[in-house]
Amino acid sequence: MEIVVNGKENIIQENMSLGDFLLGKGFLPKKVVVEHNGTIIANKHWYEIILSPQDRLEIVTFVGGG
Amino acid sequence: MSFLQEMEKYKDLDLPEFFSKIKDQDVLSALRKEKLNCYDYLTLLSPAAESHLEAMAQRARRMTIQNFGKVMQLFTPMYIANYCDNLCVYCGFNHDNVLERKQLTMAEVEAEAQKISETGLKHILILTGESQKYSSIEYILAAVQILKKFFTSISVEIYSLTEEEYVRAVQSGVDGMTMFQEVYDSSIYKELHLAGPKSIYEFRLDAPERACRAGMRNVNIGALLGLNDWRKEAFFTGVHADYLQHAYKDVEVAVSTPRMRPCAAGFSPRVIVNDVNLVQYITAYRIFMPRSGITLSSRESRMMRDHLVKLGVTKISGGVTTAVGGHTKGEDSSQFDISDTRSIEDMAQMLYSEGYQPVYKDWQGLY
Amino acid sequence: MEDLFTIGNTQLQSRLLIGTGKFSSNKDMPGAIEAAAAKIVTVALRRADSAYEAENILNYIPKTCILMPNTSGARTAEEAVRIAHMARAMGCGDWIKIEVISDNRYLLPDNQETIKATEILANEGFIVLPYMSPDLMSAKRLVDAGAAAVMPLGAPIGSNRGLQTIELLRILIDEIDLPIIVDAGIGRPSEAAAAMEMGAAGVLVNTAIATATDPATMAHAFNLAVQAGRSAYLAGLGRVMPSGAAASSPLTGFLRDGEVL
Repeated sequence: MEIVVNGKENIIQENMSLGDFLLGKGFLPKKVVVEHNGTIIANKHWYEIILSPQDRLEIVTFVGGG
Repeated sequence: MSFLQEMEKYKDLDLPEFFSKIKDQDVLSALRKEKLNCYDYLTLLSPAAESHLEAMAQRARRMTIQNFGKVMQLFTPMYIANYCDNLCVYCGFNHDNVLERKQLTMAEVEAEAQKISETGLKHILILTGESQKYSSIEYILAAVQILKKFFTSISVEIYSLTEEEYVRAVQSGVDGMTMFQEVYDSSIYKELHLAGPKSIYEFRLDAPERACRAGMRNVNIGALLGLNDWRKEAFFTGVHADYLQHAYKDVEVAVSTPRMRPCAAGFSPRVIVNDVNLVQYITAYRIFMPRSGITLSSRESRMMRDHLVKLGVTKISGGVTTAVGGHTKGEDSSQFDISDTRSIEDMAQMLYSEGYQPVYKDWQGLY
Repeated sequence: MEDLFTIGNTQLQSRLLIGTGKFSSNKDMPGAIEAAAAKIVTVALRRADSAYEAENILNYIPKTCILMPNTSGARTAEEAVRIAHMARAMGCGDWIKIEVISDNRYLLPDNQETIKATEILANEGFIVLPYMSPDLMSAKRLVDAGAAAVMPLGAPIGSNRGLQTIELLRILIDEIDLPIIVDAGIGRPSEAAAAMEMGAAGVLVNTAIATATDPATMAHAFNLAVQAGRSAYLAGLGRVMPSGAAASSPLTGFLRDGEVL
């Protein structure tokens, strides 16, 4: 199924948890903040969210800035 | 935070010690600063600064012209009632002093206002003594309603009100208040204000701030020179003005520098404040507070007033009588003797000859 | 008497704040931050499209520093608030620099949106440092909105043009009762010193350090400059007017001629 990650389309398996998706991509809990359909999901809840088609994810991290 | 707390910061200030350390260089340094702090102001008030009076006067004049133009606001005071419950030893209206007590009826207020407005003046200052019976807030605000027919800017110089009462005053059309602390030194204050509501130092000290919070546009403060060491009083007046301006940025803060005059109570000044002292105060204050108004009353002589208009003053009175109803009736109930008896017309002529434009109207409230 | 620099409830040992943008390499950061002796370090938030991108800049910032994420990218208060929430969710603290910019030519901040965002975030317990265009009324509103400090610009971001807004900065320093931290436009240590001499509580420098040929040495220079400026201010610098104003006829002659009471 299709979800939107950082504005781009991603094809993933059905019934995948958010946690599985993120860890599958190599994202570590302490290094990113994730928004699922506009809501920030704390690390400890990553596995509780099961992704649905057209879900929107924003994955952000700290970078250099002034 | 209140002004009382602000004053606490200076409780250990030893003026003689401070003044003893001031060198010529310090005065020049303060004189050349673009923005003075209060200690710079105190430096300009020091005895050492007296020898730099001409330089202070030059700077004060330049700053006044830059900030205000060659313009002078005219006003006249109107005493509407002189009953008073206070016992202020230096004042002609004090409760124990025998003089004719009067309270104008609204018809008399109207007659007085009519007479004054014939001079062309649109700014009026009304004064009363402190009496719940004869100059209650209701009475005063009723007078204000009459005055609105003649004047576009109404200020009051009355007793201390609560914040709620100042709000009522502002809503009724009062745009300015004058409140002289008389003396900032609290022990001397207690010695001079023996009884009555005015004897409470803190309530009076906070009155200008209450007025600011209530939305009063113009707040005029000052000490009565002659009651205490004038340099100290001038200093605290400046600190008070700066405090109010900083906390209430939209209020027009002004000071007056009244010097004690002989009055019906027969009180003599405790301290002599001479002409040099007065010029030093006014010029130092102008340099410290470039955009603040400085009001000069008719306690000063003709000669002094003619010179002071060029040294920092922005508002001056004319056609003055301190008798209740004095513009329409006789002089028998005065608060103090006035020195410059010139009319508004005379004052205007003098101003024109000095290259100043007299201003009769500077404000129009939209009610 | 000690010279304390306090923002909110935190006492800070350094008045030089440093940004982490524009470094040619993350590896230059630790040296620069250390040489600057900075306590507050700003970072931004961006999308991480891969785990590599989330390499974690935090590895290059000493653990003793306070992290201050900015809301760069936000064009409205709403966006700034959203970014702030995400920043807080990273778990590095409650400090936030509000940066709301919808001008892509000069990167000038939107004071109005900044005020809105400040109020919302201050109420949520953030320690808010808003970046703003120096305007007294806006600064006053930021104080009322709950800002912990106010950060007016000296010149547009990245311009390195120094204290172009000096008159307005002076007014803010004199009239606003919160720490004033000059942020943006400072291109040289001498400009940082000038800001401190005027009474600024601190300065934030990014471009001038990050894009220097030798960032660590430049950072050290800024460190010294900020200290020098602060010492000069404490030693009692006053602003001096140009002398030699034309004296006209004497104004106080009448006091000597006439009768003195």
